[in-house]
Parts: sequence; structure tokens; C-alpha cells
Amino acid sequence: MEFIDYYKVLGLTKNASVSDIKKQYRKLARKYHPDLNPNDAEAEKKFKQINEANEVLSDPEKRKKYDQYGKDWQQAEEFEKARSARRRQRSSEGYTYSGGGTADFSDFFEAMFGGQTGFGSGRQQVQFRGQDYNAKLRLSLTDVYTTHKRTITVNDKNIRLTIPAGVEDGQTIKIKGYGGPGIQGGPPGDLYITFSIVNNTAFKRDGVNLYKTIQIPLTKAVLGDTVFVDTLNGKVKLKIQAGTKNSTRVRLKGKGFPKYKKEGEFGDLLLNYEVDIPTTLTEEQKQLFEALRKTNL
Amino acid sequence: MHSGKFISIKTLCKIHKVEESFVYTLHEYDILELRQEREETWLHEDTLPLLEKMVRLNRDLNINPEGLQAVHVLLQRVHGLQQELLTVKRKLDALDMYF
Repeated sequence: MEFIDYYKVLGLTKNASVSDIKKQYRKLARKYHPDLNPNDAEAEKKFKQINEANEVLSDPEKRKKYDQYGKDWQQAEEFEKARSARRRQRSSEGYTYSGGGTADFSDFFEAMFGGQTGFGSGRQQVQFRGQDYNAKLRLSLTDVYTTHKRTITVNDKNIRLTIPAGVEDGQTIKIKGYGGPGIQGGPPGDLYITFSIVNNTAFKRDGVNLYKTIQIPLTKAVLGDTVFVDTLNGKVKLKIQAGTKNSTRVRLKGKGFPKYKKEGEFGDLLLNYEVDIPTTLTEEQKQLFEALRKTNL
Repeated sequence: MHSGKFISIKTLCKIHKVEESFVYTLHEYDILELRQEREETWLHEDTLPLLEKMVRLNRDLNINPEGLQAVHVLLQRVHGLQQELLTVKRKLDALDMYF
């Protein structure tokens, strides 16, 4: 557990006045508040540190203890143990809402001050919904090709989810009421699950369309033929037209990825033909090509 | 028109300990959409997180309604740009593979 210099966190010196602390805290809170910095984990982390520093430095009792024992927090723990009996008799301090998961304090804070009291301590008590939880679920592309059920564990709670086919990488879904418990009797928060889709196939996905480059032999490109092509739901037989050029694109309708929450609807599979020019020839093949050359081909 | 559940402003303000006038002010500033029915004012459940965000910004950072309106507009723009960036990134990845 590392010592945290709360003065440094707020950009203050040890002799900062109460008004300096308040002013500086407000300034930094406005800059790093999670509601003003959506999807910014760094800002959220910084906000938590600022919040924790303010929690200690704006409370004269806590500040005194921090100034006295801060650098020797292990001794402060002993100090706490000695006072624990007295403290248990006192009624607990009010817990006020912090918003957006900002109330989890560092181990250093917990060691020095025990249970957390939350952001904005000392102000009016507020009844509010619990904090929202965020979780990441890693799935493969073939997993999300079909609708399936999955059980995930969040904060020791098992949640059975139906994951619809066609979920996108980075897509977030909300599971109502599976967040943190409500504060002062408020409703629970929600659980937000963000999907991280790992592509375990040879296809490239863009929305509902799939892309793939396939190689076709030179003779098939020139003379035409049929080939078997892999799709995500099996092989399909494909006719190659005689005289197919390199980089020819073919669209296989309905052979792409399922459309999210639109059962039975699929995107397309777009194939890019790459004509395979042979680099090594047998003697016989070489003679045949020479014979072709003589025909001015 | 919205489908889903609506929450009475009176109940909501009682539970969340928010002044009703604050909610109406947010409506006046085009931040929240409210609905009048059966002589009561209602908020759609999907709008609840937005109201909570505005309450937090007001309480935590002392931002007044004018400031909240500006923040709301800018956050919508940030969200739009983040989505656009994500789409463009995905398209670029797809093009990298395709060509």
C-alpha cells in the first residue's frame, strides 16, 4: 500500500487554508467529473483521487490525523485499533451519494480512516439510485453468429443473459437493476455490459457484411469453373465465369452476418477474387505456356 | 411517442429529494422532455439517467441550469463524435483487410 500525498493530488501545500482546499477541489472536480468525461477511465481515476483527497483534507479531524500520521500510515492503523472501541459506540457518519462509481476509496484511505463516508460528506443526505456497474464480456465472432444464452458473474451474482446474434464489437447493453444497491433506500443501479468481439474467422466483419479474399487458380479464372467457398454457415458452390479478372468482387446476398435483433435477416458476403499466378511450373506446364505464347495470348 | 413506463414527477422528486422546480427548469432549458397527462407531469423512465446526471452536476459542481444546458449540448456532441470515431475505425479495419 503506497502513501498518498493528498496535498499533491489537489496541487496544494500543507499550509493550505480550508478555502484553498475547497476552491482547488471544485476546480479539479469540474475538470475530471465522470459525467463530463464520458468513457474516460483516466478522468474517472483522477476524480476518485481528488474526491478522496478532499474527503480527508476538508474534514478537520481527518486532516489532523492525516497530517500527524499520514506518512506512517501503519502506525495510524495501530492508532485506529486503539480507538476502535470508542468509535464503534459512535453513530456512523451519513453516506451521501457520490455518483458514477466515485465512492470507492484507496486502500490507503481505508487503512487510515476505516469505512468510507462518500463524496460530499457533511452535506445533506440524499436518497439515490445505486451506482452503475460496467463489465466487459469477451466473445468470439462465431459465438455471436447465433443467439445464445450465457451466465456471467458480476460481484458474486450470477446473471443469465440471452445474447442476440449480431452483437457488435464495442456494443453496450443495459441490464436494469443489476448495478450497486440503492443508497438510503434508493433503487439499484444498472449493469452495463460491453461486448468485446474477437474475430476467430478468416472473414472481416463490417456491420452485417462479411469480407473475404479468395484465391482462384489461373486456369479457372481464364476458362471458368466452379469452386466451393466457406461461409459462416457452411460451404457454397460458386460458379467462376470464364475470363474472370483479378480483384473481381462478388456479392453473396444473405451470406453475411445476422442483423441484430432481426431474426432471419442477414447481411452479405463480399468476396474478392485474387487470381493465383503460378510462380513455379513443371516442364510440361512450361511447354504448354510456351505453346500459348505462340498463339499471341 | 414514447412507449414504456413513465414516472410521476411528484413521486420522483420525493424519492430522490429533488426540488420539483429543478426538474421543470431542466424542461424549460430543453434538457428533459416531460409529458402532461391526467393532471400530472411525467418523465419517461429512459430519461431518468439524464435527470440523475443533471442532479449530480448541479449538486457536485454547483452548475446552474444555463451551464447544465451547455454541458448537455456539448456532451451530446462528444457522444456523437465518439460513435462516429468508432464507426470510422471499424471501417478502416475492414478496408485494411479487404485491400
